Amino acid sequence: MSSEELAIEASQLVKRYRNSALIGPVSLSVQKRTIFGFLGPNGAGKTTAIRMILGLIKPESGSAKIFGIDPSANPIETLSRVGYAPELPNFQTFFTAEQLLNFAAGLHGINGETRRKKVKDLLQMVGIADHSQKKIGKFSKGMVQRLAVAQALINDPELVIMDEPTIGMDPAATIYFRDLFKEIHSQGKTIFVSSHLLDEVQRLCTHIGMIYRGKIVFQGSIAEILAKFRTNTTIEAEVREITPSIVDHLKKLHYVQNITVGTNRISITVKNGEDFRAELAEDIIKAGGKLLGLSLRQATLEDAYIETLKRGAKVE
Amino acid sequence: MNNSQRILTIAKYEWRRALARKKVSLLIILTIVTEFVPYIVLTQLPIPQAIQSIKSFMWLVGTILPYGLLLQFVAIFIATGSTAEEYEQGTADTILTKPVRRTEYLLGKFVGGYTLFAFIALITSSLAVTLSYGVFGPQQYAEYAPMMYIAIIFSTLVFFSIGFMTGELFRVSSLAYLVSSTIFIFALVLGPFLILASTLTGDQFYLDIVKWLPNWGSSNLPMMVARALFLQNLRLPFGGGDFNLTVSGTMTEAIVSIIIYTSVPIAIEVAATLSDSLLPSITKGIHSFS
Repeated sequence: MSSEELAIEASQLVKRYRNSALIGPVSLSVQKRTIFGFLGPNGAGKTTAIRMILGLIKPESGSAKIFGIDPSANPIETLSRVGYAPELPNFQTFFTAEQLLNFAAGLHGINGETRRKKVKDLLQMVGIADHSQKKIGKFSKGMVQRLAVAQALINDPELVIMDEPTIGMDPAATIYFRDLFKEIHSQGKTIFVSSHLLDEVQRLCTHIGMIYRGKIVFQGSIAEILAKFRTNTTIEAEVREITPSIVDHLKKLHYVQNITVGTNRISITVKNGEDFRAELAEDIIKAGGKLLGLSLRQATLEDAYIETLKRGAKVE
Repeated sequence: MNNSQRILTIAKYEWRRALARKKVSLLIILTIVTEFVPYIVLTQLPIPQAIQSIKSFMWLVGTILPYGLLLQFVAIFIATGSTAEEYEQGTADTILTKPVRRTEYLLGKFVGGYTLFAFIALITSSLAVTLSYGVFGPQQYAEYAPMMYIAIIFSTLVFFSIGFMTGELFRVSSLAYLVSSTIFIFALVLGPFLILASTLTGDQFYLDIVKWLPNWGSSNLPMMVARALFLQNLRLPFGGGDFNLTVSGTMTEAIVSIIIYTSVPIAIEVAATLSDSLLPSITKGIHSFS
């Protein structure tokens, strides 16, 4: 992939803290026009990695580029194309929501009627227009997070970097913002989202990167990582009166990898992660079982995430 | 958007930020209230005849008195909190993730904080002149008040810069304030001791050291300006003529001292910010890790 196709290119970023915590080496490539989910447990180094990429922290070694340019060397050219929403940001509490957006717009050189319209539209978009004159110090966590997203979008950025953007929001707001991010993405923008909400990431993102103990343990598309864990696909069969002959029959089937038997449930791990529900239904009936129901459980991002972290090594 | 617009935007923000701090507001109020003290004392208490003579120079007393100590602390307080508090509270990111160069950020903060200080000094100087006229009638040489004001705000650059530098280096406002205030007080106390040592030993060396203290030019320039403009032939109780607690020198030497002790902290600070390597690791760890 050429550098021109990359929105973010981090190479071997390393940061060591006084408490000996080591972040890195972190290498990430985020393609333009993708929604990239940055996953990792608390304290894995997600925020530090983001801050190094943005040029807020100078890494001990390595380099970071946004649209091919080092943001710490040329913040004007890079950061004018970027919007950043930090996790539970600490905005100045003396600002009202409108004043903060005006200030952010001012730093981007957006003035006059364009600014007024942009500020009004964004407050409306993130659902805090009714609180535009309220001091930020009186905002709830969810409202501050909404405001963080609004100020990140003030310059109509090509790349939006968001650190846990839906933290503190209620479920309805989370769904609303997921749709909003998809809408922004559909306009040809690149979105980089740090999160530990796996379900959200799976629903929203096209690509992911996983960081664990300061190191990237996976990077690729959602489809790629799920394919790696397809072997975890299981079919749950609810059967009235499970007899040893049924279990023996199923064990001999070519697609069955493993069987776990419960009171009236059989959990079958299938080979190659394929959907063998139709075949299994026939085979259970052939073996004399009375089938009550079948359900497929394929590997989710959560399974892949847990498994990847367990391995603690690259699965690429 | 050009550099100056970004710097101006940050400077205006710094005014609001500083004034939103309760401690800064209280210090400003205290400074203004203190301005009234000499007038209350001189009008309410029996004043010795010798001091009666300063009544026609009360505008100068009112201008110089707060500068000696209180205004310096106000300057240090505003400067040390300017960047350090932003790092402590995590609010710096709002600006630093926008298209703003680090040098523009620092310059905007410096200009904002310093002009705020200049405004506070303007209030105290204006109060001094107004109260003097109101309480004691016509004042001598009051037309030089603007020059005195300029001398005062220029002289304060030294400890404003030192405060600004320590704030950026330590990134902990309380520590920065402690260090800057210590430097100021230490220099203030050390000067008379060195003069005493010189008087007792007759050694000129001690007096030479005094001139190299960071407060020498800063503390003496306003009175030097006053002497050069209108106090040449007067001997006043507060030191219009011989001022034996300090070392005499030329106005040029004082200006050079101020320029040196202003530019060195600024240079260190810019170098530290750009290289990020001079920052003490203890504070880097506190504010960068997440």
